[in-house]
Amino acid sequence: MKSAKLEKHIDALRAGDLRAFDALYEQTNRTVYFAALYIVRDKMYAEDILQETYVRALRSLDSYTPGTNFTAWLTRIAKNLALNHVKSAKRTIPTDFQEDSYKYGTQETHLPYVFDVAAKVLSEEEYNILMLCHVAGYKRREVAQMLQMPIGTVTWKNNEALKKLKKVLSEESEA
Amino acid sequence: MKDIKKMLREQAPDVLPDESVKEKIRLQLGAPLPQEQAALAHGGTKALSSKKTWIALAALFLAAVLFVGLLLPALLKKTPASGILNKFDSIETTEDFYLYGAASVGSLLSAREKTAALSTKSLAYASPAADLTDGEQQIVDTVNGYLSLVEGLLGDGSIEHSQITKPADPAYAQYSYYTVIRYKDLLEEEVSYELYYNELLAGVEQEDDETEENYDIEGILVVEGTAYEVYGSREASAEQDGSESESENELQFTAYLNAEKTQYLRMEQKTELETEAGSQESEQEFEYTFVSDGTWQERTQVKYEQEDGELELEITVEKRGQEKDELRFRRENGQTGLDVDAKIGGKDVRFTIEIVNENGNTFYRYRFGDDHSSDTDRYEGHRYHGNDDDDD
Repeated sequence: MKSAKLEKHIDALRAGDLRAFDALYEQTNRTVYFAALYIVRDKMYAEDILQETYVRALRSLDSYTPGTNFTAWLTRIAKNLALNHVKSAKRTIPTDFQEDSYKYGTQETHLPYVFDVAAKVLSEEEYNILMLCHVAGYKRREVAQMLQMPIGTVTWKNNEALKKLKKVLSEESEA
Repeated sequence: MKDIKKMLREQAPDVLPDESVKEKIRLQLGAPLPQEQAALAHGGTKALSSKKTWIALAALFLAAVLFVGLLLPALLKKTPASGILNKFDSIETTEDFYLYGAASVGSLLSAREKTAALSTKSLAYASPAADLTDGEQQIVDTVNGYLSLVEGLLGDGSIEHSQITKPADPAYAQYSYYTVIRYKDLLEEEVSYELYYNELLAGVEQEDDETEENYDIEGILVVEGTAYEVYGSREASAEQDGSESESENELQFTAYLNAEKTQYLRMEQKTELETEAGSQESEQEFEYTFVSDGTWQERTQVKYEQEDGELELEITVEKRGQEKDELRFRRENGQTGLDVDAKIGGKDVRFTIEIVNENGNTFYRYRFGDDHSSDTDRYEGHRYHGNDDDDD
């Protein structure tokens, strides 16, 4: 249902109706953003990548195959942009500084601590599920649709992610 | 688990992408701005200007009503903590959820017509105490407006409905269910809305230890003689993992304000109940959003939480293009008043609100730092609850 709606918006955009952009953005931006955030771990850079992803994607809509997974297509673009960003940052920022950038001020807009920890200890899939369920506020059913996985898997990975985070945070508070 | 979820939710605004990203993309792509779209769709700038006025009024109204909506009167009562929560815990079935959604949204639609009358008929206040600073007086005036309007709208907060039957009115024959939702306002006048609706089981999903049921309703809500198309969806899920259990309910109830469905008022309610190691925590979240032409104009989020005998109510009012107002009401076990931490108009303020009953008169007393206080008539000319203890 949801992807059918998304395809309608894509058709409208292809036909030059830019008013469809709002709906398309609302349905997809969180998934794209968290995929980038997991890699760059900085809100400002992730927002820049989010912006660049949509501009690039919508200017080359013809290279998207209708009926396939549009969100996944966008996410791939975002991840490539994010990886390029990290590569170029590595060339300019010493590794130690990057690892503890919040200490040295090399990070532009550092994230709340729990998000930093989540990006470090969780797998990409666990991180995305956790963010979409608890930060973006999507229902697990919706997340399952977005990520094209069974709802049971989403539930299980969500619980695993919460357990991992809880364990790390409790260990740190006891230390 | 609960703490981590809470932490993530609370810090979400600091992490989620800024709205300006969308605008930047739009600019780069050359997409029309929402205002341009609205002007195009509704006949030019004049239509847009009158709509803007309407939106501003609606936003103002929403800020006032939803500020404390269904919750603050309950908090202000001298009810034991568990008693207050039961009021919301009693919303258990799908039917309860929809009727509550209809009542809540209906009260907003109804009050839009009634606000002026209420303010002139019954909301007269005593002169404020002379020892308040101008800033404090402004806060008292603002919060008074919210409190009186809330009481005027919802009275003692109880919402009742008639037995659900088949509609007798042939105009609504396409709907399977009919009920009348009622409550009493400040003047003890009964307010009622009629709801005609069809309910559909959208699906049941059973996987491992999780059961998820989805229901939708569609119908007509008749408020003050005006029929609004409404749509509601509810999602309920429950999980069991050894000694831990979690249940979640999410309700969405939308009333469309025009035939084109470009303007609507949407209530979203989320309830979570978590049991872990013998202790139970529950959390209620309400969000009311006024949307016009695909763009939200105002969002009011109300969170209600009870933990270890402490009640906390958090309200955030966000108007498009304006600074957020944030209010946090807190009451510890046994405390009759409320401690309030707020950020209103960008200013941090802290004060307490108490309900005082002296010589048969009930009023709110505000206390700021340095013993500044203001007594404000809670009620004039009509008996409301009499002694607050009677309510429970």
